[in-house]
Amino acid sequence: MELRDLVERFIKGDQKAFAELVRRYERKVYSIAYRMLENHLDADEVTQETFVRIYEKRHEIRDTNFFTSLILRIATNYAIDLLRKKQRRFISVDDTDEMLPTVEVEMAALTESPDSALLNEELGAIIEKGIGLLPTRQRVTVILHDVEGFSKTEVAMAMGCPEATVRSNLHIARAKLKKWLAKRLK
Amino acid sequence: MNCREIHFYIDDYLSGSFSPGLREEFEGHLQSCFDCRNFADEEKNLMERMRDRAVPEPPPGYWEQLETRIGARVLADEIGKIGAEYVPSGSRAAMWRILVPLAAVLVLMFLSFSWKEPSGGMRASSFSPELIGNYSVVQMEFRADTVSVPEIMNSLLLTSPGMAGYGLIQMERLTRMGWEEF
Ligand SMILES: [Zn+2]
Repeated sequence: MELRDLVERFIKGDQKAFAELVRRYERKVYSIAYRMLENHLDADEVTQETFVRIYEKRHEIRDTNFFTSLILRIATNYAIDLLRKKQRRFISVDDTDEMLPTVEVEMAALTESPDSALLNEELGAIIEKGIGLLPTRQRVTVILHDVEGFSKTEVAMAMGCPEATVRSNLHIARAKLKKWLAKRLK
Repeated sequence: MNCREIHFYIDDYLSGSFSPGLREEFEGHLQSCFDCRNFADEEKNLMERMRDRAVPEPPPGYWEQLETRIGARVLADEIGKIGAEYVPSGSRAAMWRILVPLAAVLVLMFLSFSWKEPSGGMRASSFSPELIGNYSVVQMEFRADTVSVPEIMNSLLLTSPGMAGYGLIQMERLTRMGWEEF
């Protein structure tokens, strides 16, 4: 069934349409949450809570685009709240002195191994670590747009900001990531 | 195109959403400008690596279990609302306070089952106080093999600790009455 029909039926209170929407979106939501919180239990909590909340807010949904961005908004806001609750400290990518020990370990593996498959794997891990160190809004923008592949319009709606802000966040975040990567590979 | 535009439109170029004309113009600049060529390469590499990274698969059976829990939570919310409407005052209030949570638990189990079975099922919007009062009907249709009691109690506890408390007491009674499937 078309997404638009499903969303329309869901707004009217159709349980089966809701169940189908859960099935279609659960992996995306889980994946975003996992990238933000980096563990299964928290990702699970965010995923469950997101769908319960979108169900409660179904009367506010106007169309399909709105539905997608509302899911993204609920999921990312909840994940950010959870992060704050856990009082996790964000270290800016610029603060290289405070580099996490795991990155050092990865670096050691990287310089020791000439194998290119491993190199790729390590590069990915380093970038991931870098994303984790970005300031929250830049991090969310990169995860939604660059990693998960949502459009700038969807991300802007989800974050409640103009598309220009999404663009500039991406621009700044990617420049930081490239700098971070260059430093790690030196 | 100038260097500023290259930076601005890099995503559209990399995602292939440019028209052939614009693409040619973009690539024309890249060929003549070392900095932009370098920038485009870096950007392309970074984007590819970011998109490559999958998150670890959750434990086996997770998605099905998640769907059940979401279905149960949503239904518990619906029933909670109906319950709140029907427990205003008077002598019947006490009865409703027991019946509503009990019905909630039973209906949840039924629904958890039908959630996975598209042919059966009941819509939350079709709930009526008659149905809740008449909880024995729901009991008969219930199959216990598809969902665990702790799972449901967990959902209820998250939604309404009071409801979960009543539900638990009623569940124990049912078990003592010989409902071994629990
Ligand atoms: Zn240039």
